[in-house]
Amino acid sequence: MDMSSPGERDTAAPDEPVRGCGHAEVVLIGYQDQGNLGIGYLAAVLKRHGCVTETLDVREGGEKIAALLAGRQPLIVGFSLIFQFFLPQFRRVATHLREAGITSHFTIRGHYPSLCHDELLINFPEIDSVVRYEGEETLIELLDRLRAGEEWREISGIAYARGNEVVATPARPLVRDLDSLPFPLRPYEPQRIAGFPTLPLLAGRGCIRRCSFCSIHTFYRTALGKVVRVRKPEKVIEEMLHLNRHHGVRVFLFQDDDFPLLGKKGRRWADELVARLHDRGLAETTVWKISCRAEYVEPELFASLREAGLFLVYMGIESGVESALDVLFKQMTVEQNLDAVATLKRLDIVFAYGFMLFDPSSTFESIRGNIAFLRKIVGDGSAPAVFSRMLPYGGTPIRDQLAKEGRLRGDLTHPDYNFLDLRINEYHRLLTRAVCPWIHNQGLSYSLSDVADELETIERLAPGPRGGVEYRSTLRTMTAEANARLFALVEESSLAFERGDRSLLDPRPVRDYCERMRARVFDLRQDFIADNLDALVENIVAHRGDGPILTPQIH
Amino acid sequence: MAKSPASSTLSAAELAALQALILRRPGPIFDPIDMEHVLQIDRTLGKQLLAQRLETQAEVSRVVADASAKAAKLLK
Repeated sequence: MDMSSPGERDTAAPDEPVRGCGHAEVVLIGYQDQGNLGIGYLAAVLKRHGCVTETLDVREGGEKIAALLAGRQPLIVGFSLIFQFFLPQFRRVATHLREAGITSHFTIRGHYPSLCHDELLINFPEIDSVVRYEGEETLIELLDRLRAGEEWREISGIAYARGNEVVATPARPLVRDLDSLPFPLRPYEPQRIAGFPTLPLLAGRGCIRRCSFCSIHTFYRTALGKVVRVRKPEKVIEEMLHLNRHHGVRVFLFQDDDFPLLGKKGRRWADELVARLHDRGLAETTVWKISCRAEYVEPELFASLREAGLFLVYMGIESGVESALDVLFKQMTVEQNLDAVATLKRLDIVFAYGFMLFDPSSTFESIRGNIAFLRKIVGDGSAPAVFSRMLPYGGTPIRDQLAKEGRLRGDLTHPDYNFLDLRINEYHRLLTRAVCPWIHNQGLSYSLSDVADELETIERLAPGPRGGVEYRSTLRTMTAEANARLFALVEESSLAFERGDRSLLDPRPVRDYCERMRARVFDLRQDFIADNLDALVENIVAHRGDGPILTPQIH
Repeated sequence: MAKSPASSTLSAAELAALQALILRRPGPIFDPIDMEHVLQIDRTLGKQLLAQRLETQAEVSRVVADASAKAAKLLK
């Protein structure tokens, strides 16, 4: 089989092992949570170019990675950094590698390095170059130059430090045809939901909107070329089929910035995808989730997507206050968001959402307005209540605006800003501390969400589980109760805080409540799964594909 | 207990491993991108980087000061 053909995969031979290949020319280091498709695509184009690549998880830590690479000098060590908050972690690894005598060319890519290359190079002196914007073609050219011992500083799409000066070469155009790229390498064990193998993939890249808090559009618009590029439905299906038939993958997570459903063109694309999912038998045996803007949620379209396996929709709702949506430049109205949620509920599609209770325009009134909105959409327990604060990422318009207004605070890794009403700085700090066991990682809301998503997956892939109706009803009641309590806490504590009373922001009762509820949730879950264990095993084994049922599943 | 047709193709060890995977508590399908949480747990790393930044700035300032002093000397 010709491995250089775009999108084709040798199903008989697995990819190179994830680690331990001492002859790797390029070592890629990044987060591997839920699969890192950015690294996966880079590794795939490198492989097609005849380069042996090794992929490591940055969470292995500097010492361990340095030990793994000890005595070796890969031509390139590439760091894949998306968020600036993780910069110290990456730098610690790079420092360890340098101290261990690794003199390889260190390069870095990702949203933050691309947009803030000058800031990054000053603060990360171990780095030789930044690969800016989409890195596939630039990395190949960098590799070729280094292989040949030629000057690399003149190639397009990079930045580097020259003394105290930062030099950026002209941006390289974005990849015009995503289908010209090979399928991403996935040299890791798939995540599992109720035992069903689960993997991420992409239908397209880019987002047409320009939300002020998001760096994605800046990332794509600063480079040359078409911002939004979409793969052909047939290629998406080909990749899904490969993962399903050979590795038993039953749950697909589309990680697109914005699933391509915009306008008539998006509708035609979706219709073709749906038709092909039915034709190839994937609609009946797999499920998939998407992230999209609420404006795309239209009843007929989403009914058709649901029939074809759509089981979960994530939307960046962000605010329930019109003035905040304007500040965030969402180009959406509160009404549109409410309509989208109502449609998904009618169609019985599970939804999740991003929501910024706090943003630079927040007032105590808008905070309570947001809570009233959240009560409308999830007061019935249809999804757990979650919220966060907008953070001013590097490369976003809102960070520049806050800087202009003299409100930007914090530093590179901890960017922050002053609210217009400075009392909210303190209220936010105290509320965040109090609700940490509720709405942050591993918190009650996430636990409720995890088990509800799992139940939905089971009901769609192995219909009619024993006790499913009762379990769903109990989870929904618990979610509604938890949401109501959280909403009351925010409303009452904000009113009390304005009166100078901070007693409602005591974290201890919240922690106790969340621990009790989480224990109940997981007890229920374990009982439900235990009751259905045999049926789940049968279902998974029956659809396992021709790959191994357990580890290692290398793609 | 009699095995049903599909699972009978598994060894006892494979079956036990698959059951353990199913029983494992579910994790998030979405990465919550929970930066506030990251910031809370990652203060030490942030401080390390800030110290590095300050050292770099100090170094840059020293270079600028030296150059300025030399330029001033030449102009005198």
